[in-house]
Amino acid sequence: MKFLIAFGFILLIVVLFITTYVLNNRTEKPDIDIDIEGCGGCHNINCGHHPTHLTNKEAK
Amino acid sequence: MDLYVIFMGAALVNNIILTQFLGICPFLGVSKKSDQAIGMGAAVTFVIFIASVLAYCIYSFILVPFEIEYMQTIAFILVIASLVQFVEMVLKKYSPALYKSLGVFLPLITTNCAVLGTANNVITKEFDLIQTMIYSLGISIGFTLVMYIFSTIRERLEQAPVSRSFNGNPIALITAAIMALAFFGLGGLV
Repeated sequence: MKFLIAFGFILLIVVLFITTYVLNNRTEKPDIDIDIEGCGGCHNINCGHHPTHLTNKEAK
Repeated sequence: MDLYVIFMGAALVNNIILTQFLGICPFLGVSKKSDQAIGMGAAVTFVIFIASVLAYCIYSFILVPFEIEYMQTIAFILVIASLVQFVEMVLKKYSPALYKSLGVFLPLITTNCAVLGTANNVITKEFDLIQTMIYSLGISIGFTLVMYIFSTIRERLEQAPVSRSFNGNPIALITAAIMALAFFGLGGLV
């Protein structure tokens, strides 16, 4: 009996995972390009788009 | 146990990253920019909090009554994996920029040992539901705090004249070690 309960429980969680996985895969991935050059900029060094955070390759 | 002691202990004194050395992967991987660190911290906070509460409920109301406690680890892992899928779905819809910037580290929250470690700690420390909520909140706030502090230091380090042999990861690890020492000083707080 305990084995059946354990098996049913695991099955339930696996179904939960598969459901969320499928729903996640069906959700469209965002297709955005952040225009760094176009950013007017607050010149805050903490911002991820601040020019100082660009690698040499990106800067070229 | 006093809730204040649990919270401060989880957030600062026994910080999950600097004292327990869990969750090192995102700590080093997503700490180059502070906005990413905050985003990662928020995502991990959500997952840790919900996963710990769910872990407590699953353990207390299903595993213990049916005497199947040996399934604790696999049950927790599957619940965490499902939660991460859910978080990924929400970020795709409502915060595309954060989704892009977190990249591969977002699905990797599933394998973040800080999340599973917190869920296991809740069970081994025999907390009740309120204590579980306070503990998981403290852990996740501590995680986010350390991520943010470390990311701001790394941003400054990018501007600093560091010698070539120390540039990049070596200086980041040295910084992490000094931060861990600093957090040891908070030991007398609670």
